[in-house]
Amino acid sequence: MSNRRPEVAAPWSSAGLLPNATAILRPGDTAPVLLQVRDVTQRYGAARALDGLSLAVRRGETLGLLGPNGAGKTTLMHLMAGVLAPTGGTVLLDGRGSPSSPATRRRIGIAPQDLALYTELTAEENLRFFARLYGLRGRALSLAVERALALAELTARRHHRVHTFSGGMQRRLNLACAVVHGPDLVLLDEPTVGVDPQSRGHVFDSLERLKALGHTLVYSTHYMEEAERLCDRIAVIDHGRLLACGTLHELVRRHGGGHRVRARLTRHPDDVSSGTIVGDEQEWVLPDAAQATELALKLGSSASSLAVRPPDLETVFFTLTGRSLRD
Amino acid sequence: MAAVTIALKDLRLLARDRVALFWVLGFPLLFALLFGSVLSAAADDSGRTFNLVLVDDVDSPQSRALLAALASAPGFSTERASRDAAHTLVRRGERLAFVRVRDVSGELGLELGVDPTRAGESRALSAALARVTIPSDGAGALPPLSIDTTEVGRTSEDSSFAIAFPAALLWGLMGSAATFAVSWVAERTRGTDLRLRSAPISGATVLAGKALACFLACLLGSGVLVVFGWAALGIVAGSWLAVVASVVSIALCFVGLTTLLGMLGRTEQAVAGAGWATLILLAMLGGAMVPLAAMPDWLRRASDVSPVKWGISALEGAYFRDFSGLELLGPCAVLLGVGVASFALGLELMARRAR
Ligand SMILES: Nc1ncnc2c1ncn2[C@@H]1O[C@H](COP(=O)(O)OP(=O)(O)O)[C@@H](O)[C@H]1O
Ligand SMILES: [Mg+2]
Repeated sequence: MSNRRPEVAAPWSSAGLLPNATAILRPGDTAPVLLQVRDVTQRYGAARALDGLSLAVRRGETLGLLGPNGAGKTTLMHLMAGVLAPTGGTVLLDGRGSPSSPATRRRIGIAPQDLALYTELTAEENLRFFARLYGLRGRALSLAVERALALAELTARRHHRVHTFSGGMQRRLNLACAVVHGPDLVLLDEPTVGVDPQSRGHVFDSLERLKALGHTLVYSTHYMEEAERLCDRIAVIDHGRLLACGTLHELVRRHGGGHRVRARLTRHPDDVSSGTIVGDEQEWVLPDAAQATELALKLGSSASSLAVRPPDLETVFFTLTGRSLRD
Repeated sequence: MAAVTIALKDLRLLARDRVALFWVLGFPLLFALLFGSVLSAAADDSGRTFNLVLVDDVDSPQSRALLAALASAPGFSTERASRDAAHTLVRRGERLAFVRVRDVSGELGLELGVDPTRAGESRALSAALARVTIPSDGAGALPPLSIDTTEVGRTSEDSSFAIAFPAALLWGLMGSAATFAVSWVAERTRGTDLRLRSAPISGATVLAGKALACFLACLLGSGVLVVFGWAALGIVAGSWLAVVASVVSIALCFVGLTTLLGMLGRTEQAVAGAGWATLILLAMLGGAMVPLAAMPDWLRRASDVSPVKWGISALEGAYFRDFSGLELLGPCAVLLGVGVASFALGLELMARRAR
């Protein structure tokens, strides 16, 4: 895929690429709500995959669903896509349509967590088939397929059967199939899962192009770096509940805890309180960056190792759940 | 429209699946060739009961004695009928042969009308008849007889290939059915089922698309086989219209069975395995492996539950038994009934699964 840049440049350099793509909005509190999830519960027998979860997706934003495996992300995606009907609560698009009605589903696209492709068909045949299901015909169909191929950087491989594709290429096609009909809302369920780091970069490129086009994206992941990089707002989910929702900055400020200073000391400085012992190191938690820096400077001359860690999503998650995101 | 899109997609997938294509086209052809060869050399079996219809055109003391001797002879199951009724029974394949006592220039003669699909049995029958009618002790209570044998049904010569052909067609149709039963489940295991459900189409549309694909594959597959049989093996049907009616009925029957099978299984392997096992059982019972004629009586009666039997019956009727429209209606009605019932059951299972 060394030739991918030129292949993409042409179709994506002009504006208004996907049929229904909205103008690029800077999502903020002012953007209207596109999808409203209100108090949804999903039971599987006695177990609850979702437990009274409420959430709003604003038009034009990228909302991340961050949570460990089994948190309920996929279940929530399926409710949003109308593939599942919730045991309780409502999901509404534009305040009116439920995704259980075909007319509403037409405006939504989903890239399932598990690849959902016909591997004996070519990339183009897959795209054409799914676009047809959404009623696209003739020139509009061909155009939509071209755009989706370009988005996934698969134009050169369009006539190849999917089973000959690498994992990363299949992931990209999985994504392209979700957007080929130009949906208002795109649901991406762990689109980078099970892909090697290099191919993940490629998939991520496609995601960023999609975002740049102004699509409203809901993006689930259990990789916090991805959530930090791509999402305007992040919803932290665990055990089927929404624990917190906001911009990265807001989450870190509210739930990130303090700045952590860790050091392995050769000698304890006199004017420093003793921290918590963690292994053969000591740790101090300080409310802001200034105080952390001050402490680090004091420790500097008497430490064999020293690290300052500002709060991040990982610490946000730990504060909210008492667990680490990656177990 | 979306249903047609789904059907065309499925046919394309079928065209790219060499193993499935073998079951739809290759295997039935092999079967026609092999089974045809076997049939023409079919061995006789002395332990069997011959189902005969007796016709007495002379009605003299001698003729009555002769028929009474036949009726009481071991190995024969007989009934009396008029000449026309006897002819019809044999033509429909319900009896092996009729035996008509007639006058041949003052002497008693026997006319033996046999089912052309059961050549091996007929030879055994001639031998058995000779044993009954020509006493071994020489003190003949019965006068000497001449036996003439004719085949009942088509006047033209049907090759053994033609006789094996209905069963071969059925194998092809079963191949299509099994393939599509698996394609139902493949949609689920591949995850594409999720995309279909998230698309703006109803579950009924998806079902219609799948059913249409199966139906078209059945028609296309048997179309190819019928043309091949005609062009390469010279197999000509008594009525092509009847062939079409039979194939359509069988195809609809299998569309129903396919839907049911696809709903019952959870994995592709399970459906492929259970699907083929079911179909092979139905095929064995229905006479697509061992001809009905070679089965013991109880098994032949049990074969009524197999739609394969009715399929073969309809196709034989269309190819060389000269079935009238009314005669064809019976097996076709059974096939359609089975199809509708299993389709309804499949729908019910799908609705239950969605809940
Ligand atoms: N079809 C199902 N039947 C029973 N339990 C399920 C089903 N689907 C999901 N679950 C359960 O619901 C919970 C949430 O699952 P999921 O939505 O897949 O989480 P995530 O996508 O965040 O990993 C898990 O505990 C899972 O075991
Ligand atoms: Mg998941």
